[in-house]
Amino acid sequence: MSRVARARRLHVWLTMAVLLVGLLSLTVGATDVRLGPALWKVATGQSLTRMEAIVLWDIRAPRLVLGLMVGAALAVGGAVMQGLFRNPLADPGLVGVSAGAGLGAIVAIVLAGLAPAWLAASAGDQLVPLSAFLGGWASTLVLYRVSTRRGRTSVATMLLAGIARGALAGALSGILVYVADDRQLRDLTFWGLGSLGGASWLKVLTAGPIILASLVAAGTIGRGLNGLALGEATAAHIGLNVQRVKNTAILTVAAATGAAVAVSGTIGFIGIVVPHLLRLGTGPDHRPLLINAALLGALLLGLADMIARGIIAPAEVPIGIVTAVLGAPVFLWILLRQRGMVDL
Amino acid sequence: MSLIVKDLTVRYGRKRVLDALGLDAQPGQITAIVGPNGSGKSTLIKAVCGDLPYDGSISLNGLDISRAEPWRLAALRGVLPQASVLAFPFHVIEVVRIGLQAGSGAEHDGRAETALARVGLLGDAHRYYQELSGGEQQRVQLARVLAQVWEPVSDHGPRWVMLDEPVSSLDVAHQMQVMDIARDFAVNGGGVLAVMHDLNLTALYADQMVVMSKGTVRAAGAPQDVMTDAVLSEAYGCALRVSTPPAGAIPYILPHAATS
Repeated sequence: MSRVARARRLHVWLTMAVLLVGLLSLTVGATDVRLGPALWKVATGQSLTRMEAIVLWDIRAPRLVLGLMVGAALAVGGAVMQGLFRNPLADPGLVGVSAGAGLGAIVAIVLAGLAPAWLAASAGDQLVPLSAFLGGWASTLVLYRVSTRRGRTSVATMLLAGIARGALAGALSGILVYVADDRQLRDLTFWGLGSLGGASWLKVLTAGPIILASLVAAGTIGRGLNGLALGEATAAHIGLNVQRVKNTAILTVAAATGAAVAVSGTIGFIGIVVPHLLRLGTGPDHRPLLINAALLGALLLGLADMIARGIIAPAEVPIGIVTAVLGAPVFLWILLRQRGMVDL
Repeated sequence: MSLIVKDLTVRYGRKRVLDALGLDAQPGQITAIVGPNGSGKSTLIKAVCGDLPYDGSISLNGLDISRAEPWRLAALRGVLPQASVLAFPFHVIEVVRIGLQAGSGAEHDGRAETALARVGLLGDAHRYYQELSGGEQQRVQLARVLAQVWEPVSDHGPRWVMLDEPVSSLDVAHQMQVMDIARDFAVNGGGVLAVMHDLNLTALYADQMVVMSKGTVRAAGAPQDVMTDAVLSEAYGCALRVSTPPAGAIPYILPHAATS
């Protein structure tokens, strides 16, 4: 079986796994509400208790949906970023795009009071994700401009510029933290650690359309990213509109990362570990890879959230800590493997 | 239905790398560009492939290449770059198929396999591209170009292959293999534009030889006419002696040792 055929078969397995994790996730939690009995009640026409309705519908379900969306967004954002920079180590988190999105969110939280009334009125609850989106977009654009000269992207420049950008975003965030009040500080801490704790249907509806749109957009540039793997000049020679592919990629990364950071804070390593694992298993063809990345990203974040909620229940660990603890060793392993020090 | 370059000027910063260059290349022929390092050969082929901004005009089969959409050009010509990079661990066959993705979409009709067989690498189809030697990688890229252009002549006229030093990292047997493929393409009606370094190999295969130096064309014509002591020595800036072959035979050159 060719690698592409295997990758397509993986779509099915991952979809089933995501469904399974979804059901598990709905039934696991701090309170003793189980999905099975609740579904039985619904099926037999009995009404749910108020407790069951709130726990399942208002707490667990939006959190699950948000987690799956954010996982898919982060993984696809990573895969697209890596395709754009032609480097498996590129990641919205590593090169400061997440920091830019986080800064955008922080600006919106702390300075929301200063926004003109018409803006606050028209943006409303969308202000934070919108601002995070713009922050991520600006970061990605600056990064791309700085590290690309005569159509060639320098990876070293990209990483250095990303670090510099991240540091700058950190410093600006620091200034805002300094002037923030107590309530704002609590909100801000949430960004640093990453959490799905505040999930609500409003957040799902806010971030959902942006994330879904960027996932669909990413799906249209699979061929383009394959072509870019041959270098920009060759990608144009085989008939690709390279500039359009690059623009779509940049916008996709910015939108997906921005929306994900806006609703869940900075959650690391999904964007780098997921595409790499998939490339090892089913090859680098971006057409199946992007779909599998969305599914595996959703799956891993769903699992990570179950761990985050379950490991010290009824309290919970910020999910960013879980993904970092699990992801960092995998990331190191990738680095070592690429240097030929570990032969696996 | 030919490649016509007029008044082509390309600048890198202030430096004029190509200066009002003119060139005609016909389908059915191998047109070889030769000249010393820095004479502008690669810049010329890059401009012809649409990689660089330029002043002047370049038309391929009557199509202004600065205005044509990438897909239209891709249906008309394939490009073998001098050096190829590849991100990510693609298999050899996948690299060839990438060349097919943007244009025809006919991914499964065996073109990639046929093209790999022509360059003698079908047995390596499922190896990682990065595992191959530099010369083998160059042949994989040639297979990618062949799969892309496929027929030397389409319904809309001849197709072209642009080769930037196609044999630079190949042993002599594979140099001949690649040049035979190019000749075959030309004999069947396609156009070939190739940047070459090896003058003797060029003399063996080229129908038209274009000698460049300092950003302009010094001489152009059949190798027998162009390969003279005077033209080559002036272009390369060193003493070269061209053998005087009997009428109709292929000339070859020998460098003079500085002391002789």
